[in-house]
Amino acid sequence: MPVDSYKWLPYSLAAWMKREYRAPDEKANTQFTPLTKPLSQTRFALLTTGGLYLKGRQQPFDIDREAREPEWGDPSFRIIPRETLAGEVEVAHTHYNPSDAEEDFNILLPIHRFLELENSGEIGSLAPSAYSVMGYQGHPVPDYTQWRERYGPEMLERMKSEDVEALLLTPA
Amino acid sequence: MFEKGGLSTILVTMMPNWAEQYGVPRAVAVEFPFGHPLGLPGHQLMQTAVIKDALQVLKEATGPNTVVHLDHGWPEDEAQWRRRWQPTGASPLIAKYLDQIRVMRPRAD
Repeated sequence: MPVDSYKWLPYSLAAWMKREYRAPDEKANTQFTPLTKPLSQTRFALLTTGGLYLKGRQQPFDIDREAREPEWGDPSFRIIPRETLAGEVEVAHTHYNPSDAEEDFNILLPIHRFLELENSGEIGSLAPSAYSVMGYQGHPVPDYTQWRERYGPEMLERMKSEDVEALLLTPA
Repeated sequence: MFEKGGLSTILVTMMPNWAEQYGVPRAVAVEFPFGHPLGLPGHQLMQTAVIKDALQVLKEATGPNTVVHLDHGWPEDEAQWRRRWQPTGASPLIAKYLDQIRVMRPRAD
């Protein structure tokens, strides 16, 4: 059975989204880097759009400005270290209920699951840094300029400096 | 961007229609509530099962725009979770457009 992308949305919101949003067809331009090593020798990083940040140690994503400007979303990113423990992460994201992610951030940023896979030898390793952005980037056309020109390259540079070869992406 | 930079990526998405229209290197689709791409909090086995499926697609995909629909079901009550994943208050965007949204009815398609 194919996955129904709108299953969990209120019916009226699903209908509104179908009317408002049309993804451009960019399939012909999709970049592809083959994975050349076995998983057991591959170094991973994780990136979520769930709006996670370290409680008390990092600025939350700017949902106050989003409240004033509903068609704007904070494009910055946070580094979540692989040593992060349960209870150390909070969420700033106005488009889903963050209570489960704050209870167990592994449902969005599976650091502990990847440490287990590293321990068992099923993956090579998990890099020191995991990454979090806040996925709402504006309406009606999301503005990805800052991701594309500033924050994306900054994250990529850090991944390369930590010898990352593969990346798990988990939108919220 | 990340593929161009030399990394191989795998996406876990709840909205495969977007991935299939826009194009992605590799993706697995799960029919899970928003905010829960890897499953339930505290449910280590469920999270690991989705991750292993994703890693399998990462390993086996031979070209771009590979989207694999997974058949993991959501183990809890659907009616309850249709509400539970949602923010406790409407997002600023939804609040702004609430009048437009309320008058929408599902299309026949």
